[in-house]
Amino acid sequence: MKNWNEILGNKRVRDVLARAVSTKRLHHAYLFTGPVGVGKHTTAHALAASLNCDQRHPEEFTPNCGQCRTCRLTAERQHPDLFFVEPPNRVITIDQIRQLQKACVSAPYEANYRVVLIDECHAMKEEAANALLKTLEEPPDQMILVLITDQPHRLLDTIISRCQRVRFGALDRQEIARVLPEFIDEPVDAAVLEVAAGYGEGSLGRSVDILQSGMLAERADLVRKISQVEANAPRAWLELAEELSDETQDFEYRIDVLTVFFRDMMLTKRAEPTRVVNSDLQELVEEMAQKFSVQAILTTLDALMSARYRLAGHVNKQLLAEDLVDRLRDPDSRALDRPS
Amino acid sequence: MKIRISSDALSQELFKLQGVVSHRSTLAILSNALLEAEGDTLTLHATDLDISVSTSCTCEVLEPGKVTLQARSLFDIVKNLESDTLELETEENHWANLKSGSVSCRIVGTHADDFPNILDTSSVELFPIATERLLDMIDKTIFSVSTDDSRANLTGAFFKVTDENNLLMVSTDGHRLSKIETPPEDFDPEADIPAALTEGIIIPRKGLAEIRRIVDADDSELSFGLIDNNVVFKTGPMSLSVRLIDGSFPDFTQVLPRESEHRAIAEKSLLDQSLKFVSLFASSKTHNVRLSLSDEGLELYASDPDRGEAKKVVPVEYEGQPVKAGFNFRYLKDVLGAIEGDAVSIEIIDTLSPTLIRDPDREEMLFVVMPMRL
Repeated sequence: MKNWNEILGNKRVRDVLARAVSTKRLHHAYLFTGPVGVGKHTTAHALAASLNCDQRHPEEFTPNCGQCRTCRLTAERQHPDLFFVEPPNRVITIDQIRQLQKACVSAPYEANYRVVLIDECHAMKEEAANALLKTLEEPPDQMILVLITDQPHRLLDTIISRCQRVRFGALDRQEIARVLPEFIDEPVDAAVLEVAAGYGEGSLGRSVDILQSGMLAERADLVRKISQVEANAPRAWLELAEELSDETQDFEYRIDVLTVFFRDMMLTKRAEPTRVVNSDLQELVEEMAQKFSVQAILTTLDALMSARYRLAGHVNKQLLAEDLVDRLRDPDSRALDRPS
Repeated sequence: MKIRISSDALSQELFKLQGVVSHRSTLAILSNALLEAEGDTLTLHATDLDISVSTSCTCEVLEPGKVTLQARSLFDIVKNLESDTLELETEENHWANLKSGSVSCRIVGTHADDFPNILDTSSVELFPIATERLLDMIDKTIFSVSTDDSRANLTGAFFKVTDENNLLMVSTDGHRLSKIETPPEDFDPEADIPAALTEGIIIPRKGLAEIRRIVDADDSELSFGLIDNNVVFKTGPMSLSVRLIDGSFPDFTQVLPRESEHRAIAEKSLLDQSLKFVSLFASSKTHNVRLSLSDEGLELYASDPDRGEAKKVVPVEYEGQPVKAGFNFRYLKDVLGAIEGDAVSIEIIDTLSPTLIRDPDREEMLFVVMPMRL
């Protein structure tokens, strides 16, 4: 857990929450929405610590000190008045909600507020969500519920309408690059950090993931291989397909890497190259941009996007990779049969 | 922290903690007990956040300090020791070294600060209460405490000091109700009783069960008091505090049936046995047994389309009109189990009204069971 003041970005959101505490207008239920990895959970966790911190000012909001017993227990998730609900296997069941309600009938055990964090709250089954409505409607005193999701459209309207919605935005690319080293074990070149931050599209979580996947390092290789697939060498492209899809997770990252790379090629061709993500490979981007026509780049991007979409839908990854490579091997000639 | 202690004494005290240490809570610390050594006593605490038990015993403190240790494994270790002296010493990383006779072991511990705050019960104003009386009141009511969490205010027994300065305990789950009202024995009704007690408090079921388990009926002195929405029971070195249930208990006086002029008095053991027999034929879905009262006695009847039917007549003294009503036989069994006397009185008013069951020798308690539609 981070201290309140150390949280990256979304300062406006934190100001709103801090002001709510200071003016004693803290809502009993908040819905934190925004992309994955921009600090929703971190903010909620730090809010819980700040509300209960032993060093807090009685009248106004004080950021958590991070030193006291309460802050320490909160950070370790061992505080008796902090309750986490998380989907164990993709769903939050009604039993979890009932347990939560049972734990919350009485006043907080020792803290100022009892704070309940429901992470990935879109994973609540419908009956679980309906069971939660009662608590959202008539919460016990001194209880704050924070629902966290990156997919608010999957929530029931009745849940959304009972919460105060707090929207988190994407983080700044430079800021992500600055803090990235804290999240990875081995030191990485500053230029690569910059690239990872770009790949994350404003999500620290995604930047860390892509960096840890090691895909950035093999980026150049990957792009060369793809561009060199010969139209009439089926054996070569079947092998490439196999290599691409060897692990589902990596396959996903590879598609992401390629997508961003082709986007960069497009930018170099038609727009200002300052916004290129793969800034450390500028030469390669330009070289490739020469080779591909705009139409071919578009076709490739389409192929990549649809592969990404289908991968999420659990399509057989080998077939998917073969289809992808088949579309990539001669993008110019296929420019006309773009999938709809 | 370093202490030398009798393992028998320690295992006795650890036993008292076992009921409240939880095994599957998300808070790992709750499966630990807090040990505090100071002066010449070792104080032990355990809590599940709703119920806290603190107890202490004398020991030789070589180095004062505190630590939290896994309560379950510590108990298992201590009770299996052959030698009676045990030396417990903590290390820098809060692990504990145990040495006794030829045994030595190390167990994992954590910093004492991680333990939830302990309620300070030293300043509580205490009222003495006869141990036997309290345990009796719990026995008579605990079985009808509701287990339905959606109505939290029924998941405990209602306890209050009445205007007549009697102690009253009531529990209900909506289908049945148990009530016992008894004059306090060791209790000075003239004392300054807190307002909360005269209004009534709701003690959760688990708290009642824990008192029942830990308090020894032979223990002479038991006293209780209220602090910050907790009821505290103290006996000897042990104190047990139970967080009360917020909310108000329903006005049960309205469901108490008016007294019937015609009571049926039956022999309890015979009725119990007959009920057991007839209930073999009760439907496994409804558990319904029909009771019919008439001049000829009390007829118990149960039928299940899949198995058959059975009937048994128990002789009773009864002079009123013939009446009958159907009941969940488990509720009747629970009531019969709570009655100690030889006789039991049953007052069935009609098929749909609540039925009153009592011990004719102990008018201070009564049990109400709602009938099922026949």
